[in-house]
Amino acid sequence: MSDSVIQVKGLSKVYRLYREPHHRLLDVMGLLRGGQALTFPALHDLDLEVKRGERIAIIGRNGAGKSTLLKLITKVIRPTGGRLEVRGKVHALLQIGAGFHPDFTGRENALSYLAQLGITGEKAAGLARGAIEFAEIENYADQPMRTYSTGMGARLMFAISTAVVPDILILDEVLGVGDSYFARKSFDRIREMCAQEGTTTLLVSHDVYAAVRLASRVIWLDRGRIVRDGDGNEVARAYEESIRLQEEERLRAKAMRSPAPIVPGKGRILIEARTADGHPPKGVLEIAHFRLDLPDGGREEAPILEESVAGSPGIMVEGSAWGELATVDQRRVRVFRNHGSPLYRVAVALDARVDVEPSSISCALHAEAPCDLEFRVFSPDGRVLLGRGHFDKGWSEVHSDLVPVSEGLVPAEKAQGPVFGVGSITIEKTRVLNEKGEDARIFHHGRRARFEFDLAVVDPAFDDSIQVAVSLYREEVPFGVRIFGPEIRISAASGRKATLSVTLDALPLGEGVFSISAQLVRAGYYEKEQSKFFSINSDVIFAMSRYMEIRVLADASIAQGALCVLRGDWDVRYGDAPALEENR
Amino acid sequence: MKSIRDALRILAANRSILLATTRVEIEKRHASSLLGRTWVVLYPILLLSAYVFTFAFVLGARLEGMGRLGYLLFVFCGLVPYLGLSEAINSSCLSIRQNMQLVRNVLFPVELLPVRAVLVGLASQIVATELLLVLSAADLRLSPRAFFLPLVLVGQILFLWGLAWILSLIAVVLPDIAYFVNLSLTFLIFISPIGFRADMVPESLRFVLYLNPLTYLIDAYRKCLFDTTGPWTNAIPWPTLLMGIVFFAAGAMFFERLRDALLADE
Repeated sequence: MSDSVIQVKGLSKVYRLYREPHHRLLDVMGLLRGGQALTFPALHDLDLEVKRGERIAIIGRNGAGKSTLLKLITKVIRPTGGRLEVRGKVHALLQIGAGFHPDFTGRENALSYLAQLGITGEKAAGLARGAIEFAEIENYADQPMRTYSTGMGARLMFAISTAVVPDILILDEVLGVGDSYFARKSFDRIREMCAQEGTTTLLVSHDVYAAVRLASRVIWLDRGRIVRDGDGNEVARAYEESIRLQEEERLRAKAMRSPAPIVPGKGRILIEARTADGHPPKGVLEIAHFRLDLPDGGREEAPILEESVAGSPGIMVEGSAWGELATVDQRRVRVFRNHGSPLYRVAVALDARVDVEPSSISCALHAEAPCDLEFRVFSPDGRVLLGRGHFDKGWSEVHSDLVPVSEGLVPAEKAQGPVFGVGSITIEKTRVLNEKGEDARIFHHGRRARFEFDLAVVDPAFDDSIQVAVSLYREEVPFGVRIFGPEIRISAASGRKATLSVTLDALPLGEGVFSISAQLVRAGYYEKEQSKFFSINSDVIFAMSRYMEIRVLADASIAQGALCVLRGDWDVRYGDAPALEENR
Repeated sequence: MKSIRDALRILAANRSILLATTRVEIEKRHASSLLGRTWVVLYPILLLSAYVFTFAFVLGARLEGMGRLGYLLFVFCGLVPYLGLSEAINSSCLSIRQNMQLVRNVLFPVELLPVRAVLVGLASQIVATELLLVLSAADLRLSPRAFFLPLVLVGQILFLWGLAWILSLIAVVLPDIAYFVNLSLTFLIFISPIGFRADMVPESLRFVLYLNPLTYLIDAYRKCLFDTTGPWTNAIPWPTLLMGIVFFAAGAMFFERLRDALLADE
């Protein structure tokens, strides 16, 4: 295709890692003993096509291969395999201050930077002047760079490196420079370059929001492979979801870190059962057993009736919904509560034979209400097996085949978006009412709006003060507007259903589409310093992010191009004439 | 062959960038000093003056058949290329390692970093050579053979580029090499015919001189500015040019062959 500027086919890059820098030299000369160098595949069979004028952000964890990809495109390093075609002049901005000399003035540095691009004389002077203006450091242009603040230096760097319009601009983590005002200005400059000059921009960022704001297309890399490639918001959401899952994995890893069992041929296996929809089960589940069936007819029973102390098999209490031991119809069971865990899951560790992989799982339980469970079996070598079962009300036992999950697979997104919190109260339904009291999706700026939340108090013993925060995020804007409530006492004894509502007499939101997130927290949550991420914080009772959208229309232009319009009490006071004179 | 052609192509394509940034680099050296770029001229003059003082006035050394001025010119013809060579090698040795951020930012073709460092290092020599021309004229030895001096410089530059490519690339993974290079350069002053003539060395040890590239350079300088007798074709610096071409080719091939392996994930 003629308008593609970067074409990548089957690209791979394998690094050789050395214990000592000079081993590299020995290796090149063929003198390195075997086993002294490790190979590390940074990119794996990557396919990518970038068209002219596209703005692309590459996101991913550390070591995902982002920087390697950029280095390959800039031809700093060469691929181990595959085909890479880059058309046009590439200009990279990977490190702030590269090539800047502290004793040179801002202007001299700008000129020397341009000299590196082969631009000298009048043209260089003009471009340098423009960059200094853009960076807004006119008053310091002829001071040595060492007197500059970091922000000033970074601003000049950005300005001068975008003074010459390249065919491909590569940015690495540099957009966070300066204040938000300058960040905005840089965004605009890049957008303009892409739109008018057909510059293609590739940027790597850890800040997903910045990436989404700037890029029309986001590529999520993980372990050298493309996980997702597409619309910014969509990829960013999936990425955030995976970060949350990793947090969960970290907790599990902690549980698995116990010493390996001493019994030969056995290894620590973790069984996890969770609700298939990610929501709390409708009622309490009482689990009688988990059993792994081996293909040779053997069986391994999970010790769900024992608490696990560090290093021994048993149930994993942290981050799970395990309840107390109980007896139902003369069977010993352990309770799977429908509140108390952020993730509606239970987990148990057991020491099982590792010479054969379990082929199926069976689970017997007593359910208050029908429910679907998903089973995950984590083997000591890191393999994950998946199973699923439907349980009817009352006693039932389910056998489910276990199928291996391929590594790095991200579970399908939940229909309603992620839900967090201990779940002792849940929001069952949300309504937004317009000025006529109708449940609506379209609202007018400045008119009355009312938010209503139907709550279900799941925990029968709940009696506590809560606070509600409703967040409204406008499309493409990382920060939103919050409506924050006072402390409200909720007691299960007063009723298991309740409706919370808040009325805004004049909706202050500006024109646009807003998505709604709601968070129910224990009173005082926002005042405290939180050490735990909100998705696993036990003070978060219920949180649901961006689960609903409303559109706000504006009749007056004051509400266009604004996130929110506030009207305060205004006043005018005339000063004395002499005071005015003085001001002049 | 292809690597040599590529090297020449890159040099030709970037010649204006090379010159502009060499000038910037020289200025960077003196930025924030009171006298600024005056040092480019002042430094070699002061350095040579120090030698004048030591050799001619303190030691009173001279060789048979040379006046005081003649002996000074003789010594300077040896010192000036040494000065350029040692500065150029010293500044180019770590040129890639210290400028990795430029390499990463693709601001500057990596093969040009040592090339530029050599040019920066030669600035003193070029100023000092002009001083030599004045001295040569004062001693009534200046002749049209001085027109061969640029050719000597070309040979020297090619030689230094080749050497700088090899050293700077190795220094990326083995920075220790810089110490070794530094010591060798100090040692070089004693085994180079700076204060004496090659034929004054006992025959059995003379091979050491002929293994020393500086010997050819010094010889070329003297043939242009000092030994202005005999046929003028004597002044054509064949050995220096040959040495330059050989080192340039070797350096270009070395660089091309090993750059990926050595620069990989720095």
